[in-house]
Amino acid sequence: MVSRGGPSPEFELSLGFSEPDGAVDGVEDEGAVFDAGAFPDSGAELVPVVLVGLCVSLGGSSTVSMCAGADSAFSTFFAGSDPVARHTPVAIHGVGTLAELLCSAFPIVNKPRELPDRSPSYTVPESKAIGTGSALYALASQNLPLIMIAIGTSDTFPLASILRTATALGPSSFFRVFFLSPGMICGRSSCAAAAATKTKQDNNPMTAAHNEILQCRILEIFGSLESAVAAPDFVFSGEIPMKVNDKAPDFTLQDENEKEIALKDLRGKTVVLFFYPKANTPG
Amino acid sequence: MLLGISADTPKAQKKFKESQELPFTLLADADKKVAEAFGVMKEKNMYGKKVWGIARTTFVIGPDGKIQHIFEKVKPDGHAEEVLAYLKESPKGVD
Repeated sequence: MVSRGGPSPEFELSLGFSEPDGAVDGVEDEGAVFDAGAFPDSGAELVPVVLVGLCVSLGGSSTVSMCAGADSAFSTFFAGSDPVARHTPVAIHGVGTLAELLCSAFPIVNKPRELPDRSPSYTVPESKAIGTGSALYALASQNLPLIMIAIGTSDTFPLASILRTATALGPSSFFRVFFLSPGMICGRSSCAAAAATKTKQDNNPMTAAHNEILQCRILEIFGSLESAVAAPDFVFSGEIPMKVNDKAPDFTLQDENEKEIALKDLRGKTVVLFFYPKANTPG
Repeated sequence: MLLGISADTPKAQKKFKESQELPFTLLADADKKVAEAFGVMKEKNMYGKKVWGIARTTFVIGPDGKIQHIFEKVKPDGHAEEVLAYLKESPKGVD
């Protein structure tokens, strides 16, 4: 994690895009590292713009008016940018406006957690953007100790071609942002609208095909957006968010005899944890 | 301590364990929360269909609770040997 604070914070973004096979030729498994440290002056403005733009894709079209405005702004932001992301972006939004946009555009779980050593990530369990609304709600309704933001990507999304470097991440790579200050952001109304829109589009084969390449991701944000914009601290990771030397997230699960086993009870022992798909399945 | 985690129910785990004579504990992560916490949920291609599921991943967690080693893209065959080889080299060993 990059150390926090300062007027010129350095951070790295990495975005992973994935589409169903053959849905979009040549855009499969796109991933890129976006080094915002190269343009520290505009760093604070950059990320909120990115998020808003992503939300547009989540909406699938300009039917989500709140996001639509940001869409054009976002396009402007990246139009003509160098494809390898070496460019210096122009900040086009004030922080206040961005916060406002964000506040009306994203689903939020209002329970900022304490600063973690490393935090788990939650990914929407759907490969299509269609129907992810319900998945988001499912996650949101669990009252996870996180603030979550859904972001989507699409083939038409400018980042897909612009943020392309040699650092290709797999289809499950994702995009995480950590904000350090406690506090809450806002409600989640607009993304509900986005979800509703998608459900409707699902019935139309044409738009459904288009939406197939959309993907929704969950983004974690800790703390208040406003202070985060002032002093962002970003961590983006690749395919597996847990890394060597991270503290393992604690859990309590039932074993095959329905006896509870908690990871923390196993301190002092080396634990080998196998994750495997359902028993007797090929995956 | 060897732990296996999947989204099966404890009952299914028991059956699986018995049928395979597995020498380790199987944990039921039915809602996949732990899998998510460890970030092992992946989009997979199964029979031409994209599904979200648990990717075979193995974590070695040290006595201090920190992750010591991660095996990704685990293949079922030969993985046990791979893990054991790692643990043998590791000075801390396994209980």
